[in-house]
Amino acid sequence: MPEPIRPSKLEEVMKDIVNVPEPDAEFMNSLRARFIAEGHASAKKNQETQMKQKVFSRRLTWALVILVMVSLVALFTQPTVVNALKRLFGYVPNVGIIDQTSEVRTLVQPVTVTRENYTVTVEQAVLNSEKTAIVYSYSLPPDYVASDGNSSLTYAPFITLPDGNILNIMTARHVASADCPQCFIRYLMEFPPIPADMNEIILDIPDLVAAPSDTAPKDWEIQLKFKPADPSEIAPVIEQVITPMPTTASMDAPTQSDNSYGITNKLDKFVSVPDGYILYGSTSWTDTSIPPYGVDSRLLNIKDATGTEIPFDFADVGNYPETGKLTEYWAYKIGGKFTPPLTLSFGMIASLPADGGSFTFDPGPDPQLGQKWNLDQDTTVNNEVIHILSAEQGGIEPGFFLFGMQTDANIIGASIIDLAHPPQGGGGGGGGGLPEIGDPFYAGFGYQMPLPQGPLTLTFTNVEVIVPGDWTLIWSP
Amino acid sequence: MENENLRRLEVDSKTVQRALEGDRSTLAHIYDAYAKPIYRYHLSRVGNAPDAEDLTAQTFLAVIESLPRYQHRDNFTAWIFQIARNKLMDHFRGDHSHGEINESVVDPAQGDVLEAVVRDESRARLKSLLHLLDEEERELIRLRYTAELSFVEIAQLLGRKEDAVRKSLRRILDRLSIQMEAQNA
Repeated sequence: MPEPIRPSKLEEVMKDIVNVPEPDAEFMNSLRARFIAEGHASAKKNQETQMKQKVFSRRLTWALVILVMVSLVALFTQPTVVNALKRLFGYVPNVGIIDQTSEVRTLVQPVTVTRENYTVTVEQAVLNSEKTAIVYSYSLPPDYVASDGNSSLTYAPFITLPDGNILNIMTARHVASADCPQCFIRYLMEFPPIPADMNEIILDIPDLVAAPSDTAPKDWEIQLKFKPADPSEIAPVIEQVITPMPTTASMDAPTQSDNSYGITNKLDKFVSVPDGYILYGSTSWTDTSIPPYGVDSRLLNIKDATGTEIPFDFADVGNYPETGKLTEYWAYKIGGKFTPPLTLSFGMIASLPADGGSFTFDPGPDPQLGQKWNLDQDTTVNNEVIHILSAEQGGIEPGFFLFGMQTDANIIGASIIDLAHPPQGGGGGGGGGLPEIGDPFYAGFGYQMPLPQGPLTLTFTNVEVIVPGDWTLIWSP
Repeated sequence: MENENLRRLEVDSKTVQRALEGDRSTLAHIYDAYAKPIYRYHLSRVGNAPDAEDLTAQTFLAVIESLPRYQHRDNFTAWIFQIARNKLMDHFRGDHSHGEINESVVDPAQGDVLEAVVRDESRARLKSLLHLLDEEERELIRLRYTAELSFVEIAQLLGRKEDAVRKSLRRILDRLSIQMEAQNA
């Protein structure tokens, strides 16, 4: 009689039983190439579109805008407003902002190792009392030909200290490698801090990150030596807090249309880099009805003093909110050629719980995929009227209905649920650029099949609103 | 689940941002981290390699289209698997039959391995018991053991609490174990 299988053992057996054959390598490789090519092309197209997008139109009067801007320019060009340059933090390219209140160490020199025509270079290391940041890159063999896509099962790098202790990786990410044409990839890893009396370690890289084939050599052991950092290696971070002036003040309790939810959008600091500036800021809010990640600040455009639009790129934020904290951080990189001051125009979207507005919809006994219904109903959500325009079955899943809506209030998206029936899936509309108030938007809900018969009641669970207020920041280096 | 930590470690908000910027190495990384799990998941559902390949391709092309709308909530795995599931539903909307867990995935090249598995009495019984699970339970098994998702990732994908997913799977395993013991008695 076979032994009974205990649950722990059962899991191992289960893995065997539900295992499936490996995919065809040629297919995986072909799709990989297509995904990368189309992803790259799509991204470039999106960036171009974004840069051409028109500024989202504000409903504040021009006179008020001009008045505020003039006031801000006058305020922030005063030397007393700009905080003193602080040396508490420094900026290291590829690594980001570091705390330099304790001694900072860096590599004595970059270390390059070549095996089987793969060349790995540890380019940078920055050590302080908080963490150990190491940047490595690698190049492929000159005659490299992609052979398969088997590269997903890899082991994380770690550090071996002189006393034999191991430091496991905490976080890692790709960093830009446009300045290194031979680099296939450049990768930043962060480990716990290394004791100050240890200046030699072994970096172990079991698998090169994203190596495109299993033919890449494994288990790279690279000895690194550290020295006190040269001040020239660390750019100063200039703290310069810029917060827009409040533009409105109401004595009444705010409604959804004039509530700004205690949102503050500010520029905290900037770093001057050889090819421009990196601007760091944050958006925080005090209204706890908006959850963490519930506010989405979007930089719409940057213009200089002549009105010229200044291109910008996203930069590494290097700072993430603590769990539950009502703050989001942002960072943007700009070139160095412009006429100051710069005007940074933001839009602000908040996700709010709905107070339960609902509407009914009867798809009939046999709704067809692609079928559309005109609903023409009004419902009140958070004291605002939402006009339910239409319903359509189709798109994503069987039983999935998409509802078109419109309102003259500041609602630009919504999520809905049928409280009487478990969902297959649900979701809101929106996304992309910043919609205009009054634009139609969509909310969907997917029913488990078979579809319930009779009228269905959909209830709003939350709405996305454009937060009123002037989120413009005026900045000069 | 050796690649589980690596997936979570590397597809963070910055990785997504770089993918949005069109960084080829980042796109490669995303593909490498998810292509096989998604293919395995599709294959476990549709039961044949051509359809699984087609669905995998559709999933990744949809990722390109949808990435600008992705909002990072430490749930990239759930997000990309939701796309995969949507593609599956589109697939099943047609005249395709629903695949079972590994039931029709017998690849001639894998015949020896599967025969070895079937020869094991306990495994054969377990396999038959799997077919008695309801669809929701089978989906949990697929996501956990075929696609190798973590409990957190499954919870995010299914809109449930991690602990609830963990308990559900534990209950399934306990029940299977009891059923197998009962058959042995």
